[in-house]
Amino acid sequence: MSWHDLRLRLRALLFRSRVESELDEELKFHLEMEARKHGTSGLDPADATRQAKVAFGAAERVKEECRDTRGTQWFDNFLQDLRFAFRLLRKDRGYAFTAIAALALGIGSNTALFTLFAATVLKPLPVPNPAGLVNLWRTTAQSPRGGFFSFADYIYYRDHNSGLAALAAETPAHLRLVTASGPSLATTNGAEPMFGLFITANYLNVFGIQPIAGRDFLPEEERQTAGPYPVLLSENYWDRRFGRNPSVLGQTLMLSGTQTVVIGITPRDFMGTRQDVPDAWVIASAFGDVGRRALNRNDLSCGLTGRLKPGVTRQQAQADLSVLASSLRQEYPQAERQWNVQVVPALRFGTNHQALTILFGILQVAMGLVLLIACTNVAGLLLGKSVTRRKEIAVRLSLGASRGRLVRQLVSEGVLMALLAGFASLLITWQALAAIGRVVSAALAVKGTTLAIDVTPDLHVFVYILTISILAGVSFSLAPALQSTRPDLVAALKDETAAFGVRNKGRLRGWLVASQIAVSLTLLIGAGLLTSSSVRMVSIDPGFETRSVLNLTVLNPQELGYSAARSQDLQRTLHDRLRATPGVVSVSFATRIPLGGNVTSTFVSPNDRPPSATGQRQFPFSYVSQDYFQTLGIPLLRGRAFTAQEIGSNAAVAVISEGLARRFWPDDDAIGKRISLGSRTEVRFVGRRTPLSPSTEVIGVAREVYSQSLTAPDAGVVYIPKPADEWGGLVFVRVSGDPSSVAGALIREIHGTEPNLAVSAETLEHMIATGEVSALYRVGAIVFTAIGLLGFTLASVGIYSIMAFSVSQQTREVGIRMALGAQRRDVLRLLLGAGLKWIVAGLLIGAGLGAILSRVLASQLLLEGQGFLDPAVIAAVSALTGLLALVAAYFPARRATKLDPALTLRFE
Amino acid sequence: MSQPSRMDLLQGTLDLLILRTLQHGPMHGWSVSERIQQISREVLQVNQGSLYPALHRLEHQGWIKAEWGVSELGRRARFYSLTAQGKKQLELETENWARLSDAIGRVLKLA
Repeated sequence: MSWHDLRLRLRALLFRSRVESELDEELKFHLEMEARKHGTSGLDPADATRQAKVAFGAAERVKEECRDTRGTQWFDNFLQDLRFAFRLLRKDRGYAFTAIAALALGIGSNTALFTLFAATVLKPLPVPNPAGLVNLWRTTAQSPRGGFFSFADYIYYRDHNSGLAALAAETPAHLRLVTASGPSLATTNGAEPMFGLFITANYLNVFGIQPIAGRDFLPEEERQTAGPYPVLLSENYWDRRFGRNPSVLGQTLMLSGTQTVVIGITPRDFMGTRQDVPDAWVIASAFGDVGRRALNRNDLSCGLTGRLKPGVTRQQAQADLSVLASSLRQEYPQAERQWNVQVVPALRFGTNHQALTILFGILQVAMGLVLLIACTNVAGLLLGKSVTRRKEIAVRLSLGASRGRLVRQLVSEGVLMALLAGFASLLITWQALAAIGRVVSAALAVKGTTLAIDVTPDLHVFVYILTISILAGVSFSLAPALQSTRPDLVAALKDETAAFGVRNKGRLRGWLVASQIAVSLTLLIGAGLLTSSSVRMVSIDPGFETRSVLNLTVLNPQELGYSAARSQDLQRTLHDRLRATPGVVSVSFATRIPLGGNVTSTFVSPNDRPPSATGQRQFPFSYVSQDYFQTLGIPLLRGRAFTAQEIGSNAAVAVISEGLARRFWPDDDAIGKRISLGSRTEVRFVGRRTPLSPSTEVIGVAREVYSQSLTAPDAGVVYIPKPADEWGGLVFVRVSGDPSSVAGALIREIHGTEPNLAVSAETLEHMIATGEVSALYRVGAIVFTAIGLLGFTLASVGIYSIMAFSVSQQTREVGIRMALGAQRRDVLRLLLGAGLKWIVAGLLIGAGLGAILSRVLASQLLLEGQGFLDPAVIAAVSALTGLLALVAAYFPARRATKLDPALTLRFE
Repeated sequence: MSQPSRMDLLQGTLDLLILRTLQHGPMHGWSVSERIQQISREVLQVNQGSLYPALHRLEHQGWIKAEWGVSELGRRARFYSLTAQGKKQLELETENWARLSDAIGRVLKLA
């Protein structure tokens, strides 16, 4: 395309009316000149003009050809098509409304999903210059994603790297706000949960964020060794907990036994690279003496965020840090043996970013299928519509309109409808998501965190809606358009609506029915599989008793400032009083919930082999008191449980799980072998203690339990006797009889002993059913069922309308058959039989796709014990779908048989 | 059919004739068609309907340019004139035409 061409085309596009009037003038001038010529040769003016026009030919055609040379014709045609389509939609509002509503459901559900995706994954961090921020991950070949660093590693990387302007560390922790100095801030039930991050003094600076009130941390505060430690509150928490009371600044807060003072407020919704807004940001020195932490390479607790120096790329920083990681490996072969460092762009949801993308991918496929059903539905409508428009189309074809032009026009109609639907769904989903978001964050606020997801549509969302609307519009209108413009003019003009011998007309409709059934069946199979695994999840045997065991979570009295001796006394009294409560079988204390919750783990290795043979590996551990195995019903496979004497005396003995025993001594008896536990760790916060013992005797092997997830049993657990001065904040009580009636009595006993202790009680069964792990499956099942039902509803309506339409097309055939003596049963069989073929085809395809989908689900969500194909689920869902599809087909067919043959024959 | 003495223009030759006619200077559409007819002694009948699309096409190709001017009778008219690029194109096409007609002539004589 040359420059002239482009210039002229643009001119024609922008100054359309001027170009048009110039053309008119030019041709008029020509005709005048021609008429004048004829006039001079003696004709009268009227004849001369006529002569000129004859010589010229059809002026409109000439103009049309001139316009063609401009190359802007498509645009004019497009506008014309849109105007025409708009008129048609306004003329038939019922049809337009049905089609647009179906599309809006399909496009809307996709838009909702994409908006969430854009808000969580696509949007950059809402901080200045987010592109310059990177996260550092501590990786091995086995776990390539997101490991934490030790504080010692942090200091090394911070001081030696050359690519980062600054590097900050964060350590997440669940805290308890115990008392506050002002009377208005006192807590009612002794303690309330809070979510906090221990951060280095440069943290906010790295993100480029300033406190909205008060001040940021000072560098020297990072080296503070005694309280009160400075703390920043998030605006979200300040608002929620203290009603924006400015006097909170300067107040002392007791956080999990440590004195802190509020020095500032961070901006609303600022959350670093985390997924939720923390309540408090505590200076790192409050987590443990920085000097001592700097020597400990085994306390892996720090997430790192850095800012690239201007002009340094992420790859350059990566190269630099890889060199540092390798020198660390050489210097500390024990601790750093196989670790590496990876520099990744700082994104919200950091390490979960990839998992989220996969999740969104799976959901997007499901939503895409719903949209496909909606499109098929509208295609069915259009096909029905096109038959009533056959005459119009035939007339236009016979008047010389090209088929391509007509197809373009029919497709423009579809695109217009889809765009209208897209626009409607944009408004609806935006408002709906904002409302859901408010409800969800209100619910989460109770748990001490704030979800902050901005669902205001951005450019991504607009482009997405525009794209899928146009794609949907083209895809559902193309096939009906091609079919209805097929040149078969004679039959159409004679108004010979489909009767005998036009079987192939039904094929497109048949495929529409089949594909709707296939797609909705696929979705329903996915929903069925997720539902059945969430049901199994609750009924799964985790390896310990769940129904008759109550879990009481009791606040550590040291967090209230009680002395160690006093809380030790309290614990003894509690044990005795609980044990004496009617209905109680046994009582045991432990530091870890058997399922979910914070996993405390420590390094464990066998002593009869050099450490290099088994590698440095951490395993979960729990301090337990006497009767633990009996209370939770965990059988000991070999050896024995702890004696009362061992519990009281900090004896160097341990019970390990069978997985660990098999790992360390595959062909040998574990009993009597010795293991080493832990490494020196200094942790100031109450309630965090790790074992440290170079030689501990294994006295028992317990059966494996599911303590970290319900999808697979643990790889190994270590149980150690609980020292008398360790607070066993988790009390397990085995009861006989109804647990809920005993629970009240137990709580009364505890409050009778010490009124200030915060307590909660629930059965383990309830705890598992409401826990995070099963919640994931339940939400997944609900979402898939919702999507599946949405799809199926759309599909049923689609099947019904297509069947109704095709039956109405066969009215004459039915009339003739019945006039010739066919029974109603025969006719019904004929009509249903034609539909049945497609229903069965749809079921077969859907079951196949469902099998593939379930394989994907199994690989992504690990449904343990449930193969990728669950024939029972697939068969049940297919049967149900087939039945409902038959019902949708049955009603129109039955109506046809009720018609009077005489009437149907006279119908035309 | 109607006038055997007049010939319809060969496909593609209209462009060449327009370019050649415009070599004398700016001209409006009507006089281009008149001139072609006069010079060809009324043998070549320019289909007036195809003249204007051809003019517009040549304009898009950048071989001629159009300007509004005043006609000999004092009316506003659209005048076309050759561009530098158009002159080159004319030479090229003239040469091609000469070669083609020469070749056809030989075949007719000798074949």
